[in-house]
Parts: sequence; structure tokens; C-alpha cells
Amino acid sequence: MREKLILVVILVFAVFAVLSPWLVNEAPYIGDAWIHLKKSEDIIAQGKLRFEEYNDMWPLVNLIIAFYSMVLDLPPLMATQIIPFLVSLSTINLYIISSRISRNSYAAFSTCMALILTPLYTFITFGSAVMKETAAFYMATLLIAYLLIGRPSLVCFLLLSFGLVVGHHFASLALFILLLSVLAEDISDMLGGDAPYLKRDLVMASVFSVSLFSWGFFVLSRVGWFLPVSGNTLLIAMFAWFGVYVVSRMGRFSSVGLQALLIPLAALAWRGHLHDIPTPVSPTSIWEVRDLIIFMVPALAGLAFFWKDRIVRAMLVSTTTLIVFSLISGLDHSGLIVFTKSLHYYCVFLALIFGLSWSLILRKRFGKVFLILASICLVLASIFGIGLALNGPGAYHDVEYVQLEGLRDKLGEPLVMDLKLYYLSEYLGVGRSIFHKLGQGEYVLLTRSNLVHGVLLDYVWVDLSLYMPYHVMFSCDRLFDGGYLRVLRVNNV
Amino acid sequence: MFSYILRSIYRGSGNIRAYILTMAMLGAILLMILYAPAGYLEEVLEVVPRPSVSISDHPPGIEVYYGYFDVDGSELLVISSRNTSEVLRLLIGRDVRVSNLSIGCEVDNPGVKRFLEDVVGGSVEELECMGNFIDYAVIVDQEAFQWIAGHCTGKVHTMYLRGYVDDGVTAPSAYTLARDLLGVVGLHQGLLYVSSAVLISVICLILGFRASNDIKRMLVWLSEMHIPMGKTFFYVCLVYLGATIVGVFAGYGLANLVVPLMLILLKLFFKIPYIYAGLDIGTIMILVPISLISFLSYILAVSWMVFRG
Repeated sequence: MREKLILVVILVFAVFAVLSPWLVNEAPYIGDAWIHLKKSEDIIAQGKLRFEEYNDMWPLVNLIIAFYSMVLDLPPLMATQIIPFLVSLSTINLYIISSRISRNSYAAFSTCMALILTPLYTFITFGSAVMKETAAFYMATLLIAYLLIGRPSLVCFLLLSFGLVVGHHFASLALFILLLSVLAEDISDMLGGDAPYLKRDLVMASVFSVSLFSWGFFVLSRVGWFLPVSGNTLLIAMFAWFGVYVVSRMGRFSSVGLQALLIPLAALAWRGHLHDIPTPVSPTSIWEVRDLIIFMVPALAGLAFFWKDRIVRAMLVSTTTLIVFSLISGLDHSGLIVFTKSLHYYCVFLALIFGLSWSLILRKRFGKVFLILASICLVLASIFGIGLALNGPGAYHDVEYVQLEGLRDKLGEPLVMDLKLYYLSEYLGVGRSIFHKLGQGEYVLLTRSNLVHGVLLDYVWVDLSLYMPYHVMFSCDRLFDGGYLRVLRVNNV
Repeated sequence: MFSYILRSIYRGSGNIRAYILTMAMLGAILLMILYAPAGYLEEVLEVVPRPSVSISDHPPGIEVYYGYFDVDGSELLVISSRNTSEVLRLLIGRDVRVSNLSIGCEVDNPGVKRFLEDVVGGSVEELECMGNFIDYAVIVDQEAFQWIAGHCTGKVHTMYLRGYVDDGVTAPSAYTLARDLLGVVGLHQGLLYVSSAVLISVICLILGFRASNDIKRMLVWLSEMHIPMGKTFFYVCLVYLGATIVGVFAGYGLANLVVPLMLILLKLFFKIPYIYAGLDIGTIMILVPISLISFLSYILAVSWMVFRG
């Protein structure tokens, strides 16, 4: 009964966290949503899948939206929210992983809450999004949970593997590295004389590798090299794996030391202090540092306590490799893309070791007091992330959708806009071009977030004044002002 | 038998794990020492534009006359061409406006200026300072050049400048400077390489002596089981060769982990720009000879201890 209650609480938190952008703004989060919405509508209309460009090559997200839209008879726009809902279910997978390792329901509960309320706020900003990565996230965590089963069904594993492989390339890569790390643990066990899981893990790794590489070759044959890194950088990734593995196998102290260095580095990179990007960065406040320390201390303790567990160590090696690789592949724009994707998996590991520590901390004298303090800090720490998900540069509002749809037929000229509105315009079929040096007589489409946060350009955003200095802005003709959306004509550049 | 040997060595006092770790640590240190400066210079080569100009003593190309002439007691570089602007653009990489008689900003001898004004019968235009050889040279039209060549001591040379790299002499540039520096570093790399090879081999020799007791004990057990010693020894060698390879890869891994993280910290705390040249596939081979020498030292030590009796 207690376990069921815990699961219900976790699910309620997770569902509200990832669906909050939809519940508050009544629009999907992140521009990719409009691409996949369009693809899903095409699948429903034509009744077939097409493999023509990058976003067709990992069709899981499009298929899920189309499937639920047809089965539940929902409008496709509403059906997009099945993707964040699936992400919220991944907390159940994490609950299974944590409870299997710790044999403690409080630890498992803490793990899930740490993922939802992580001070790196990846769960809400990533989980709320409708994109390939999030669709694959549930499959990835399910496969990790599946690794803990004593006698897994090969057919089931094959289906899950294929699901992940057609979900997203990075998620597949993350699981591939995890399987390699698990195999390394098995080989180490074998040297010690007892490797009970070696055969099983070898079969799993082989099945997954065959799925991954088959699909990978298919994609390469269709769209060519698609990764933001070169082949040589992937070689560095392999070396990074070796390096992380050596440091993690050396002992508890070296493992904890590496994480003590990496967690703050990851936090700084996530806040924009490491990469050379044009996004304006605010200084890190003392409160953020406090929240991070309160998160880090139990997490490092959890790692020290459960360092010998093979799954914990395999997750440690694989997720740390991803983070290290993202940092060493360059502190530029492409490095930032890899880093952002890596961080989502790194945060799963951090949540796991954070949660695991509570099975031991709660036995101590002030364990419960510390738990309450940590919970308060986690809630406070995740507020910034919630704010970004609700009103950040990637957050849409239904007003934007309605107003732009209304404007569509009245516009004769293409509009200059940022990437956020570009995705929406592409979906609605509005003539568009991305922000560039403005010319006389050009029409600019702005939304409220452009004025508050700036102009979104791929993974970065820049100040609007970079494209529209104040003298240009004030001299523009205001053709439409709907509160959220504005259409301006440039007069003086 | 192979797996039995593997486990015995792994569990023993001079075990595989320690051997792999030692190889990895030494390999990583070696790579860091060898590749830290070279990595930076490789990056410089990437950043600095390659020269797009070559110099030859035969056509095709823009014909340039030059010579060092004795003018009013000082030796002066005089340059002339039909297309002076293009010559300057190729030589210094900038568009510079020149008149019939232009003089570099560092030529401050008033006698020279007077002489040149007499030659052309007009005023001399002083060029802005560019921080290169043009600051010390005079650029004149062909008529004036012929007059100077006829009346001053000095030899006239002809060269042909091309706006692409072909045969002939490549004009000096930051690129060639960086490449030369890389060559100098290469010499130091070679010295480091040899000394490191010796050091690592000695360490592996010591490791081999340390592990030999375990191996000797194992050989005794296996000989009691009537398994030939030669076969056993072959397997032991195989195990340690595998460990060497794993150790080398782990060394690459450690180097790839430690160096960039250190560079990131340097950028964070001291604002030193992050330049990291990751090891490419071509540099993988650098550790292989050292590893093989180290491995042979290790096996030599083990063989010596085992066969000595």
C-alpha cells in the first residue's frame, strides 16, 4: 500500500512538472513540437511513413503522436502531450532501478523526486518538450531497468532496443555506452572468477548493437553524416570512456573526486559560463551554489556508498563519459548541443546516486531534518527551470498560435523572425526567414519572449538589440500588435 | 587453462590491474608531456591562414624588381613593379595605396628623401607604418627604378610573385613560422620520447620482477598438473600483452580526460583561452613502440626470475 502511495505521489509530481507548460500556456514546449506535429498529421493523412529528411529518420515521436491521436480521437496538437506524459512515466522506471539497487522505498522515492526537482532543472525543460529525444527517454530508462532483470526475454529486449534505436540517435548512443560499461564490469568480474551476468549482457549488447548499427547505416545511406561531431571526435569519445573507466575503477575516492569536479563544471556549463556562445549570462547567485552543494553532498555520499554496485558503476562510467566527451569535444556551439543532450542522462545518474544516499542518511540522527532541508532547496532550485519552461525563449503560448494563424492569410510578404516563431510559421505555412541584418522595408515578426529574453537562434539566444537597435525599433511601423505577437515594418536601418 | 592463468594473475600480488593502471598512468603522463605543446601548435596551424602566395625566379607571375642600393651612405631596399598595389597585397596581405615614389615610415634619413625627390622630380609620400619590411623599403615606378639602378651601387634582382602556392619559395608567414616551431618542438618530443621509453621500461622491469613470484608459483602448480611450462609461459605472455594494449588505451583515455578538464579549469579561473587539440588517429601509434619495449622489459624480468630457477 505504501509503495503504491509513493508511486502515485511521484507520478502526480512528474505529470504536473512536465505538463505544466501545456496546462499553463495551452501550447507545446520547444519548437521541435511543430515539426513533429506536422509529420504526425502527414502520417495520419497519408497513412504511411516517409523517410526523406533528418526528422523522418527517427520516427518514434511522430508515430506515437499519430497513434494516440487516432486511437483516442484527440486533435494531433493535444496528442503531442503524450510525449511529456511518457517522460513522466520514466520516473517509474527510475523507481524500479533505484529500489532494485537500494532495496529501500524511501531511496527510490528520493531518486524520482531528485530527477523531477534536480537543481540542473533538466527534467522539466527537457521532459516537457515534444521531440525525438524525449520520446526516446522513456525507452532508454525502461531499457536500463530491464538490465536489472535476472532473466529478461530476448524478444522483449529486441523490441525495446528497436524502439529506442528508431527513437533517437543520442539516446541509442547513451545506451550503447552503458551496455559497453556493463560488459566491462562483467569482464572485470570474470577476472575475479565469477561473472554470472556476462553471457546475458553479451547477448543484450550484441542485439542492441545490431539494431543500432543497422538503423545507423540506413540513416547514413539516406541523409549522410548527421551528427554534430566528426569521426575523429568519436574516437576521442572512446578514449574518454577508457579514461573515465580507469578513474572510476581505481577506487571510491577517485570516482567521487571526479564527480566532485564534474558536477560544478556541468552546472557552470549549463548556466552558460563555459561555452563560447553569444547568449547573455547572468552571474551565478550564492543561492544557486547553496542548492547545488545541498544536492551534491548526498549524491557524492550515495556514490561512495554504492560504488561497488555494477549498475551504478556502469551508469557512472557511461553518463560521465557523455558529459566529459561533450566538454572535450569543444566549448563551442556544436559542443553545447552534445552537452545539452548528455546532461539529461547525466542528471538521471545524479538523481540515482542522490536517492540512494537516503537509505543510509535517514538512519542517522538528523537524517530526516536534512531530508526536509534538502527537499526545500530542491524545490527552490527547480523554480528557475520551471520559469524557463513556462515563459522562456522556447515556451509557446496558445495566443501566439491563434494570432499567427489569424495573420497568415493577411500577409503578402515573408516575415523576419527568430527560430521559435520560425518553427511555428513553418507549421502554419507563413512566409518566413530567420533573423539577419535587417533591410529597409522588411517585415519583422516579434513575440513577447523576444523582448524579454532575446532572439532564439538554434541552441542559443541573443539580445534583440543586436538585430534591432533602439533607433531601428522606434522608427518601425507597427502593423499589428496582439499583446504577444507584433508585426513591424523596418523604416530606418 | 587460459582463464585459470588470467584469474591467478588477476588475484595475485603483482596483478594485471596494477599493471594496466601503471601502463595507463605512464602512457597518459607521456602523452601529456609530448602533446601539450605540439597540440597547441597544431591548433595554431589550423588558425593561421595558409600562405596563398609563392615566389619564383621564372614566370608566370607578377614581375617584381628589387635590389639593395647604396643611397646617401645607407643601404636601401628598393622595390618596383608594373602592378605595385597587387605586389603589396600579395606580400603583406593588405591593400596599400602607393604613389610613384613611396617610402617606408622607418626610413628616416633626410639625405635619402632628398635624393629620391631629385630622381622623380616630385615629393616623396611616406607610407603608414605596417610593422613589416615595407617600413624599411622604398617603392618606386619602373622608370625611377632603372635610374636608381644605373646611378647607385647595388644589384638588381627579379622575382615572380604568384597568387597561389606552387613551386618556388613560399613567402614567410605566420603559418611557416608555426610550422618551423612545430619542427623545433618535434626535436624536443623525440628527446622526451626516448627518455620516457627508458623510464617506462625500467618501471616495467621492476613490475616484472615484482610479479614473477606469482607467476613462478603458478608455473609450479601447472607443472604439477603436467601442463608444459612453455605453453603456460606463452599464455602468461599473451595475458600481459593484452593488458599492455588495454593499458595503452586507458592511457590515451586518461590523457584525454585530464588535459581538457585542466584546460577548462584554466579558462574558468585564469581566463586562459581553451585550445585543445584532441589526439587524432594518426597519433595513436606513438605509444605503441614504447608499450612494446615496456612489455618486452616486463617479460624479460619475468623470464629472468622464472628460468633462473
